[in-house]
Amino acid sequence: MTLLALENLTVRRGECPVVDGVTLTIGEGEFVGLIGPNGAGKTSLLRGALGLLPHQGRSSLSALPPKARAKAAAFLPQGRDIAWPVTVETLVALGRAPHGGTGAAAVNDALDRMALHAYRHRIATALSGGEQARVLIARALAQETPLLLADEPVAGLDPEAQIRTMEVFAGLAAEGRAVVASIHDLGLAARHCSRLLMLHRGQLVADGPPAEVLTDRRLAEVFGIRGFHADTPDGPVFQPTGVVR
Amino acid sequence: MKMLFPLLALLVAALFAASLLIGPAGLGLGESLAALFRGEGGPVVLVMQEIRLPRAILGLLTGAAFGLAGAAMQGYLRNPLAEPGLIGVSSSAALGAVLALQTGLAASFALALPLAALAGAAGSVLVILLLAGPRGGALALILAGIAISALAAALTSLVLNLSPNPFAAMEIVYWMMGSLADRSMTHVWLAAPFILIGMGALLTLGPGLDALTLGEDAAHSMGVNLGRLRWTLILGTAAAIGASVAVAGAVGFVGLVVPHILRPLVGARPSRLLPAAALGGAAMLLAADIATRLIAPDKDLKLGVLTAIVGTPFFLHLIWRMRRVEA
Repeated sequence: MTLLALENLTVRRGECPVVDGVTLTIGEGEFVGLIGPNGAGKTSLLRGALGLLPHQGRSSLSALPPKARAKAAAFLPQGRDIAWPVTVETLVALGRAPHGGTGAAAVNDALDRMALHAYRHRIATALSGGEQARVLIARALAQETPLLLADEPVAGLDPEAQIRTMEVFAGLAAEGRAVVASIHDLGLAARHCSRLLMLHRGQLVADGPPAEVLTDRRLAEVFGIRGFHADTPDGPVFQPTGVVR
Repeated sequence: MKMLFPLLALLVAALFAASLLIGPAGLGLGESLAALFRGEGGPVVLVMQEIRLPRAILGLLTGAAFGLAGAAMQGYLRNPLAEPGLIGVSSSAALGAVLALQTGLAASFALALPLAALAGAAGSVLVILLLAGPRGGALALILAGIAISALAAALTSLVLNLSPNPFAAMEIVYWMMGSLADRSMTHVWLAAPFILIGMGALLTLGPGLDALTLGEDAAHSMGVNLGRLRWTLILGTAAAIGASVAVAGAVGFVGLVVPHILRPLVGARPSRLLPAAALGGAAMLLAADIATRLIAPDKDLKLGVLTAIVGTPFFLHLIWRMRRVEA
């Protein structure tokens, strides 16, 4: 089943298109990494798809009424912005808002997945940045939507938390849900995602399995880097090694 | 804190009763309470039903409106320094009242002044609709509010400046200090519908304000209709605060301080803070109004002066404590 369909989605900032005619569909069971250099349009693509930015073209999500959209897709914004000193449990339970605030089991499940049970009664704003990031991911998980859109969910996390988060997202995909996450760490993206979308100057320049997307030519043209590839028993490995002059 | 709401309700009830029982006419407890419900009009009945009852009701209503609107505004702007006057409603209502006093309209019939104040508040809402637009965000709202407040304050100063009559100027200055003295049931009937409708609208904002804890993008993705939330906030605040300022004058600090005091006691959840701040605001205003009668019974101490004098040191204390926690 298709969980997200974009048709010729274009988002403009002033005259300049920051997302330029992107067409794609996301189906059940996919863990999609959205990659591209700074300013490629990753955040604008996610926000445009949700209807948070004025856009041309069609997004299956932004066409929905607010409540239906909130049940179809959860969104984890880039900013880790918690206004009030609420407890972790209260914050995660905010994700139940589209379901009328009910669902203690979903909150427990989200705390479980992000290994946050010990933090349950702590004040969220008093936690470290990385801990807050995990709490906010748990909030999005508690929304229990078929689709999760996450803007740089692993930025600023320590390596263990990064890998655990990627595994949680892969786990959601294995359950038949789907995740689209913008990711700067190409190694993590190559290792964990089932599919990569490469954006360059607002355009979708590559779409496919990591090994097909992360070619030497594209890495040089789009990112200006070269890197080391290997296939290991644990899966594909990619490590950027230098800048292309 | 489970007992918070019953305790606050009890406090408000006690202060409401105290407000009925305290005044220059030294009436006995049983005598005054009996007079509230008696039909015929002796002097005691007159004092209770025509002077103290409206004063207590207005203290309850306006205090609740200031506290609730303050909590809602802080929740929407995600900022503990926001207060209900931020969108310019208070200063515009004050301008309307000042114009009524200056032109002599206020003397022509009893409700002229509060009606002019309500008109001022309505005018400010129209300007906000124009400036902050249907898609305007929090920043547009703050900037529009600052502009409206500044303009209303400047026009109020202009009226004072050009006032040919020093007595009218004095009356204006005294009115702006805020008071609940000498209000009648007519004032209650005028203000109560606006205040109650405004408060009813603001009380529906709880779930949306909770979601806004995580910012506008996250709230949007959780199904909150931010446009509707903003309109409800503006119109609810304008109705409740416009009507409150119209009958009580510019009473500051309640909407700023009360949500601050109560926030830690409700686990900082905006949705639980709304009703708590309404009760807390009512308690603070009733207490302040009682204090004006006890401290200087023959001096007509103004309510707004007292809330500011008590509120400011308390606020400074909160800032001091916050600074120590953050250091």
